[in-house]
Amino acid sequence: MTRPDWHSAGKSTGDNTDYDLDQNTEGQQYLSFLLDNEEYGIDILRVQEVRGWTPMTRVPDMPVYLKGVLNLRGAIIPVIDLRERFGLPAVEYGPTTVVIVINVNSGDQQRIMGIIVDAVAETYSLPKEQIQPAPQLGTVINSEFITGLVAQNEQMIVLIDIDELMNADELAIDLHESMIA
Amino acid sequence: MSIDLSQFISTFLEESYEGLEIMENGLLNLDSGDHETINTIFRAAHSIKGGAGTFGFDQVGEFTHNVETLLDNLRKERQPVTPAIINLLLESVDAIRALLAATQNGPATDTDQINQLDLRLLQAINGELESTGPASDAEHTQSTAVDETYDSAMPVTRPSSKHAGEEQASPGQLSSANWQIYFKPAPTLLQQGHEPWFLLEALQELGDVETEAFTQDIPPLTELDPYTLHLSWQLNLNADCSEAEIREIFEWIEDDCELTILNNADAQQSRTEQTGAGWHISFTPSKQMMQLGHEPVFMLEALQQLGSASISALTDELPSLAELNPHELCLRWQIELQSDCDESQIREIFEWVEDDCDLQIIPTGTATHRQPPETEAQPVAASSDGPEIDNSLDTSVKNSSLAKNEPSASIEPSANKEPSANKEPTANIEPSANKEPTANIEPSANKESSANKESSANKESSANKEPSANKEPSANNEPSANKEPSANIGPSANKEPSANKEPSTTTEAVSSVSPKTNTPNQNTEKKNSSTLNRVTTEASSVRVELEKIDILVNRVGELVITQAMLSQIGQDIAEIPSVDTERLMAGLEQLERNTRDLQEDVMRVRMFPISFVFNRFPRLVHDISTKLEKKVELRISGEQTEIDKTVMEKIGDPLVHLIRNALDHGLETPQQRLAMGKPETGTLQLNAYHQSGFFIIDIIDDGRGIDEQKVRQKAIKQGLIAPEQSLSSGEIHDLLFSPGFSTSDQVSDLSGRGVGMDVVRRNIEALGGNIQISSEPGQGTLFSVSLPLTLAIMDGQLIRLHDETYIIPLISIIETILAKESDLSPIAGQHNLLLFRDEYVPLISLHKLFNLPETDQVSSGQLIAIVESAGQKAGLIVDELFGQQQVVIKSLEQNFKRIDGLTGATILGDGSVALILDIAGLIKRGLDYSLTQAAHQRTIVLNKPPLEEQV
Repeated sequence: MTRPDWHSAGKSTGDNTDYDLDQNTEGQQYLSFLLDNEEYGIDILRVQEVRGWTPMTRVPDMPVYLKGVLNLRGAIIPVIDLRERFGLPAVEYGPTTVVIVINVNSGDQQRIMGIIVDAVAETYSLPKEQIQPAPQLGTVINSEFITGLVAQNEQMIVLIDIDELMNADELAIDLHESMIA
Repeated sequence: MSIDLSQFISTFLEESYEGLEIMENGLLNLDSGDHETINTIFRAAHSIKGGAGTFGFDQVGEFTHNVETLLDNLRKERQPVTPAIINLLLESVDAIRALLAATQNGPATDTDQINQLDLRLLQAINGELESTGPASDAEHTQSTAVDETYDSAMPVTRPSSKHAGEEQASPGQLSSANWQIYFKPAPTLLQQGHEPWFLLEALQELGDVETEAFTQDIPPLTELDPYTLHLSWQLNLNADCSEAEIREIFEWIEDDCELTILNNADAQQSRTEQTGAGWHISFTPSKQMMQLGHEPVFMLEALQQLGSASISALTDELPSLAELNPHELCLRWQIELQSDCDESQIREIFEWVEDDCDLQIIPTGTATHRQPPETEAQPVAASSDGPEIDNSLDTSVKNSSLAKNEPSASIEPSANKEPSANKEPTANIEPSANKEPTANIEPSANKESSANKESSANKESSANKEPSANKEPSANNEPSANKEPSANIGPSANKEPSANKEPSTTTEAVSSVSPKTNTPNQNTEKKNSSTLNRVTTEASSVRVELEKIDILVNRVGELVITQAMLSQIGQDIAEIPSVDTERLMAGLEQLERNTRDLQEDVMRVRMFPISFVFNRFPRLVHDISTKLEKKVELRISGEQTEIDKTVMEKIGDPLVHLIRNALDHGLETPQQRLAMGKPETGTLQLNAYHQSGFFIIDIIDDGRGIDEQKVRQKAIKQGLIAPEQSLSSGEIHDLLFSPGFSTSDQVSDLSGRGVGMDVVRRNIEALGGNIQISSEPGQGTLFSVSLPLTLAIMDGQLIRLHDETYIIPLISIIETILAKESDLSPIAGQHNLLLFRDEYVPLISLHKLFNLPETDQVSSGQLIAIVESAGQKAGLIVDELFGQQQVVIKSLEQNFKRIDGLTGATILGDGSVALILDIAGLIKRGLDYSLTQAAHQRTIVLNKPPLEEQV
């Protein structure tokens, strides 16, 4: 019995997409979203779902970008506002504001987290050679969160390393703390 | 057959550890002459050895083999049970455990120690073998009856009880005689991955084998299940080997087969003992027979009319007078009937009860050596030419089957079943087998399914009696009598829904079982196979990964939330005047009830009796008291009280610590006790019980109690309290939980390092429980641990802080009060103390801690929740109290991380998330904030300091 290997679907020829078929041989698929008119991309295989913004429960003593926790069908997931995380000006949440639910690898634990972005833009298949290394300076984002830059349709897409981003600073699992507990 | 065994290793290990626990427990409770316990221990050791061999853990296998041999000696009373041997065996249990652990974590065993222990085991075995003599032989013969339970599990069948003594006293003895082996595997053998063919091949390696397969059990092709084994074999082995060698071949399946190994010499001997013509009848009625309205005496009388019958009643099943249930039949009979009637005449007498009894009718006539020596009445009778085959039965059959309680017991895979329990399912099947789909069946079928849940023997109730009463008239005509047993054949006869199916199954089956003589036999046989299946389901449990259960628990949690949401909506709708919501509300109510029930049931799946934890304590107490040279009697009660598995796993270590503490600090030495006029032996009690939704464990010793003065002085010396502080005795007891506190003058390897009680309390509180001490100097000490029944659900008080909803665990709340101006006293300008029941408690502003817009200075009328954790009270300032409700605790760590001051979150009826406050953490944080300024002043200003600065 052959079973479709969902996990490598994005890396292989991608028979389930009609987009950029010819360039797709070595490419990885990315979901891009908008933050303050800039386009960012994340590995599409990490995206669990995209949902509209809903009010959430604030968690005390958390950095401002951590907007709170949300009930995702019984699981409690933390949600961060990427704008505020990257130091971009905060805006009112509107009808296009979405929460992208992503899977984050944190050590040997997998966490489900949400990121609030202005809007979801596109999905791309990007061959490795198109991806340029991240510049060491100049962006609002700490360069260690950036896996690379891609020029696509005259627009620069910043590819984000979700695991780095979502395990940094206040979001990190406090190993010390959990060991005591 | 290359099967990857590695996947079963973890199961083996798990079972072995359980087996070791059983051994340990048994050893600690072992009195000499307690056959049941020795057998249990032996069985456990045997399974470990067997498993170890299968998985190639040779070291474990070899070592356990010696343990087993020693146990075998004890079991057969070749050696007395002495404390030295018990200790040796206990050490061996540890060694096996270590060896098993080494198989998991790589080689880290102390080989020297193992070898040494091995040597001692051998010494113990050999040292006693010499003294084996005729005396113990005789003793053993007497004890045969007691050994039966063991035998029924692993049919170490003796040719006849008469020879058992010799035979077993020399198990290793070589014999050149021929062997007759009757081998009837359980129908499920193939499904368990065994292949009888290999066994037969292995036998051939021992010597010449003459094999004959019995095919009479094979059903018609249409009913044939290729996965079920219907064959049995008669093997004549001509080999120079010992019985043990033959047994070894069958070692892996001996629980799953009926195995008779008979030395031909014995067989011949017993054959010569044959008596004249007649019938031997073994009649074992089910316990419920009288309740079903049958009277065995009438049947016996009827038998006597057939010829001269010598009837002997066997009373070995008779319980002690205290346990005797007058409505239960505990007798069985052996009847020697001298009559030239035929079998059907005898069967006729028992016709009404044949489903409710175990009936063997064996002709005491000629015998051929063809037949398997211990052929059970059932397989034989099942063949179409019953009487002939019966005629060929060897008398040794009779003897050996007499020695056994009843043949069906030997089919049983499960060991400890009482014969009555074997019968039980049969009795249960009967009502549902009643084939008329009348109204009567419905209740009885229901009854049955509910009765099945209980494993107790007394469940047959009057409700079951009715259908059987119905049966009687209808059974008067032959066809329906035939029909009735065939209803039993239906594999689903056990199941409640099958009550509807039955009629059709019945009619089909009837045609295949028409000849009258066959029917009872077939019936008996089939009944037994269904008995077998049933017993396996009844006695067995299912190993399920905890994760799966947790998913189930979560799912049900979701359902509870959804249900709460629907109820809310329902209530909202009900407020609309024009809408008729009666039916909706009724439906919602029912949904709520069902959801609650479901939730409770699912929770119960996670519940285990606390005995899993308590079981290791007898050993612990035994070891520690030996080390301390104290005499202790451990009394345990309520070990069947159930608690959530997670709680149970985490409470073990704290309890061990408390017990060690009680033994070391609490109980005095025998000399001290005698000097104080107390009995030399101290008692340590462990009581577990449920109380108002909590699980309580009391650890009570009758030792010296807590010396409050000593504790106080130590605390002052260690700077935990100020010398001038006056403390209540509760507060002094609380000092015991301070980190680093120890009353012991010297540090022993048992206790006194000052680590411990604080950890104990922290662990218990981490589980959402608490611990309390009460002590009477000279009389003893009581540690009372109360724990939540489950970690998944909690009673919570919903509160409002500013515009956010939080939950306080109800167990932490002492009281919620409205502050009175007069009770408030400010300290350092801003912080407040509240006078609460003659005690000043600090107030904690959650608004400040949680960065919420703060209410102004606490004033009169402010709502304050007085909470307590770790003996520390505090007042939480809250804005509003909402309702109390059961909340399903969700972890924040799963997708996020631990957050100070919160234990988790829950989902409210509207789907939103509410955070659950961690009172211990909050008190710590809230007081950190204020303590630096207030602590010193408070000590001076207040006569009585409300808290110790131990944070």
